[in-house]
Amino acid sequence: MERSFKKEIEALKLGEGEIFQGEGILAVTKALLESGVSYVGGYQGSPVSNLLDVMVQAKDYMKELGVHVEACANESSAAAMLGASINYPVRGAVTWKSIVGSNVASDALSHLSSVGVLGGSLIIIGEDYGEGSSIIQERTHGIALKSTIWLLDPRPNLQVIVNTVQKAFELSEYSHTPVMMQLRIRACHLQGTFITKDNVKPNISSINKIKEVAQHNYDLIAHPPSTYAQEKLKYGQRAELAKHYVADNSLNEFFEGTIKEVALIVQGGLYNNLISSLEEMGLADSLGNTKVSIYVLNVVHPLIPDEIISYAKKFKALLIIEEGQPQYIEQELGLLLHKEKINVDLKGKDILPMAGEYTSEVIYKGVFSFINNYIPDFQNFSNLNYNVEIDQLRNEASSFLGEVVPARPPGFCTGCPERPFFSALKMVEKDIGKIHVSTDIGCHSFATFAPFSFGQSILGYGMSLASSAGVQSFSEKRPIAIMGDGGFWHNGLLSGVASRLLNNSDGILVILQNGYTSATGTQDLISTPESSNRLAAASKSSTSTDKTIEKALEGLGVEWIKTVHTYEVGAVKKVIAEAFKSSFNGLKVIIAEGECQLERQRRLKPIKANAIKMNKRFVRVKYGVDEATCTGDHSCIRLSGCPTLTVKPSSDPLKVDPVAHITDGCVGCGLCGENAIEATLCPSFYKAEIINNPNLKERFVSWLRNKVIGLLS
Amino acid sequence: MSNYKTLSILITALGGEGGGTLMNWILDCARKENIFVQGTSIPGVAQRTGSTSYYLEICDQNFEKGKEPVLSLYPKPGRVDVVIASELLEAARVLEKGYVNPDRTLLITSSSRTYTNLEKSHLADGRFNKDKILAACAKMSKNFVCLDLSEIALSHSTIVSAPMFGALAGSNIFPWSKNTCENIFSKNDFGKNSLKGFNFTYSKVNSNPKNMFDANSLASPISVKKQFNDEFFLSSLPMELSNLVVLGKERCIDYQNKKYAEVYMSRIKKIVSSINIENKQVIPIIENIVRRLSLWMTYEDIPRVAQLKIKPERFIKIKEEIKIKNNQILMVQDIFKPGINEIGAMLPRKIGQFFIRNIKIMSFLPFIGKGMKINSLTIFGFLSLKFLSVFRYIRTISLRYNEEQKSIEKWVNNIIIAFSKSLTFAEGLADMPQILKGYGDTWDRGKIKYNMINRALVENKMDDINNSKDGEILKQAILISMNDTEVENLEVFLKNNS
Repeated sequence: MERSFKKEIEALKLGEGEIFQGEGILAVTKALLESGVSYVGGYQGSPVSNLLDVMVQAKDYMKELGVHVEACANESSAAAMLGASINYPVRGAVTWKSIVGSNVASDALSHLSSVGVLGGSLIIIGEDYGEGSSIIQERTHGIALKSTIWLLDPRPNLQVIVNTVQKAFELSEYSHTPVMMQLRIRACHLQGTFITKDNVKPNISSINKIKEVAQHNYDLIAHPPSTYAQEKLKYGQRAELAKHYVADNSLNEFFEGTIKEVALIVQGGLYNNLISSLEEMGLADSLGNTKVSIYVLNVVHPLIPDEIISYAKKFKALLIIEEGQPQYIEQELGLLLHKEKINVDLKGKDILPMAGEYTSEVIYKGVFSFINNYIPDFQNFSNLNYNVEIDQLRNEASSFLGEVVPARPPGFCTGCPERPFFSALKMVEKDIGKIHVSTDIGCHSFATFAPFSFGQSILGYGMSLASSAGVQSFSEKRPIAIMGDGGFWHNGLLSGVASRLLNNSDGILVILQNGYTSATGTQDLISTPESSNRLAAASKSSTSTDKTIEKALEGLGVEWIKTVHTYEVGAVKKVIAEAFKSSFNGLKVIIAEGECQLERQRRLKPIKANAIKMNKRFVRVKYGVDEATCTGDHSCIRLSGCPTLTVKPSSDPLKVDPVAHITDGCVGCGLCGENAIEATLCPSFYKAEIINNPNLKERFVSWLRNKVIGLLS
Repeated sequence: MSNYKTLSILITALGGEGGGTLMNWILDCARKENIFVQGTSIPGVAQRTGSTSYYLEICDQNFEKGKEPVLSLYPKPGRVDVVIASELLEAARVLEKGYVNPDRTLLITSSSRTYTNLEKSHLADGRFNKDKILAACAKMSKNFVCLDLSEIALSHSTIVSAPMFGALAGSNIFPWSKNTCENIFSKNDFGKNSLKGFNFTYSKVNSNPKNMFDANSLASPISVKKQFNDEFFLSSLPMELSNLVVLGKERCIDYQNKKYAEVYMSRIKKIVSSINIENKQVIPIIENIVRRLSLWMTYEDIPRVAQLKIKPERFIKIKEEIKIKNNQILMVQDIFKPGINEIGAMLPRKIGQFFIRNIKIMSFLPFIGKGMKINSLTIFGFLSLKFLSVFRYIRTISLRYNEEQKSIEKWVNNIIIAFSKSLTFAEGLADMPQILKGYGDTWDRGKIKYNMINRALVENKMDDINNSKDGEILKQAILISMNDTEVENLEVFLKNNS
């Protein structure tokens, strides 16, 4: 991981009364240090990657504070790490992308929350929901409910978020329960400010170690008979304590308005969207002054019955603005109001959309129709035309454009080492027919998009091989499972490989080894090449220097392992074909290695800058397409999808269709040339080598060649 | 109620382009000026070349801590003050979503296009209509600024964020001075280049802030150097068409010789004499025929490719494209993989047929059917290509030449018949040769599709085409074969329509 967080690390060191300027997730990082956290862990993933990245890079400073930072192998190991706070009065925090991370972590989470904690335990949840999300759309709320973990959903304002972190630890300690704080994508990336405090060195820490271990106490072991008592504690005593704490500290907020008939209840994270929609209705100003009363749930679990009952009694109708499915809050409130026999209309998902992100436009529609039902003259003091106006804008724009704007999903970067593998797979498919591809989570899932369109299913991170076990059993042609090295270490080694070996069954697994968990921001793995090897490789791929994956597989007893360099498309084709044809009926693993191009380009930058500065010899490789021989059929593009391999209008007036063209962004990976040969595409590709500051011999040879060729032509 | 103003800015860009950098520059300026600001984004996996967006709200003052306004994390449709797009299709996407309001929004966009996979994968031309986007932008925005931000970035050796920042500052939207913006750039080379890119765009936009429209998308008219001895015939044609004919003729001479160009001219004359050239509807069809005929008659066989590869103009063009400097040496390696079919095609008919019949034996010969990388700027490489190009002198007795001329002749005759029966059918027929594209597999499949259509919709129908329906079906069939690399869809269509 070579991206530098120098500036961000400085921000972590700010002291009392200073102003932090930056991203939401980094504000949380700072707040953890202000809360005297002893240990931090987690697994990377958008939108929370930066929390860990910064802490890992700030190693020296963390050491100074005594804060232990652990880059966990998966979310399960991160959650289990919180077990330290069961027996010791230490604060710990972990983070991951949710819902997926919470799913992986849920076994450890259940055990943790059953026992309860002594030291404050906080889980920072990146709620990857709505626009920009890369995962299945589910709520973390369900996990919090079933395991009895308190769930905070603070207003998206850096000061509020930071204060919430502090309160979360206190709540956790007061109620002996782990706490989750969820931040949506835009809140994690929210750029704002807050007033900092001094960082607090934890009492028990890596520089202040304890001498005695905790007493053995069977009550703190998640094992029967303790578990029966723990169940009662969870839903009884601990829940009551938590409710008291939340109420006494006014963690939820009431904003009182002048409208008497109706009121709103909103998840804290949606507060800004609600205000923005009320502004459009003329019911609020941007300072947050509102005409309609709002009850903001900064704590969405547990709910506080007393607060709700007294609030509900004041109004004829309540609207709950709750994002995602199922509507847990609405259900819980409905039951509560019913049992308490409170006569109030409860509205929620019957007015607001069942699924999807609650943007201010969506909330506008719902809130507007809600209020309109209860206040007959509402239209007289509000803008009811907003939705009509926006629909009109969209219709007009669409009619001018004439057709739907084509989607632009993410794809493999320029020079990505995974693209050549899929080019090869596409060629193999041409020879042997369609293949069932079980795919996985990671950069390689971009191969599910055009032009590759590979993949019958995705079942989770590192799950591809496991998910092909059933298919394997009834398929004539062997299915193929693809995972990245990230997925392999996260889960694939055990769920996939070990399971297949246990059953002695057939199968093909491809591990795309690019050296990092690239999709989450190129974090290190245990098979990341040594830094000395990376330095030596310069701009070349260094993944072949690491054999951890091969050794692990051999150790497990995999007999058929072939390693191939992805850019050698011919060799990749051959090895795939071999795996399909092989008479060996066990697990066949192809390790397709090629280092993440992002990392290589980051390495290359300073080398290049230095060479140019010092007038040293430096060769740049760029590929090109000869317009004269390109017929504009674009078959090269359909086998690649490289961002720099594109089309441009033909400069030949006789050619109507655009011709292929390679832009200046080409990093010279050579895939287009390989494809041209392996797929017998066309003779239009050429490789240009630009030698900067050539040596004398090169100059002379070049001069001679120019002379002779000049004479010949 | 509030007595301050906010400015909302939506930045839309492609992942990895530097949209986040631009957002951070703006945030830094606001913070330096002690102005309340908020920004957010949804980078995630979109970082990897997908479309992504950044959103900012900037106040015109600062507030006491705890009394700040509640700013939005989402752009609100119809309520965005400024939209800036680093790429033209992304501007269209923003329009589609309703963020641009003619009563409110300043729309700044780059005129440059980064084609989506969907657009560039098409077998012919799948590009979204640029003129429609430009027209929609102009109509849907209050003010529209359009210039090639990508080109400006490239020519200043910086990222697109710099000219984007310049365009925003040049529109005088920020509640701070130009100087504040300039101070954001670091003092290293990248910073200096970016500052230049910033200033270039700043002055361009600032001097003409209203409805700036960069019209470099307009195609330049075709120019022709010399005309030969067909002046009389050519002068009877409209200018554009006559120029095309001359271009085709020059191409045939370069490809083979003057005699071959005469064959080309006689084909054109034959077609033109069968129609009424005064008919305005006919002209675009004839233009298309001229284009297709000249390309078909100069089909790319091995000698042709070799000939094009060693042209001095080619190396000049490459050097221009790469912007080669004095202290640099260029090496060019050409990548070939001639198939046995292609080698057979350039040999005399009988030998070529023998070659193709004995495909298995031939594949043991060196070079044949194997990838070759030839360094065309070395003496050996140059001579190898020169040797291959010499085969054009025996082209007229080659296997492929014979086949192609037969097909061309048939096509020309069918067109003449079609003109007398249905203009729509002629229009479709004119487009047929575009199916015959590419090399190797692509060409083989094109040939299969061509023959399928020719058999089903042309050869058997020439006698009884009467209405435009047959023409429409033919056009549809061509469209299907250009939309899809496989033949299955075409097969189904032909089965239902022949």
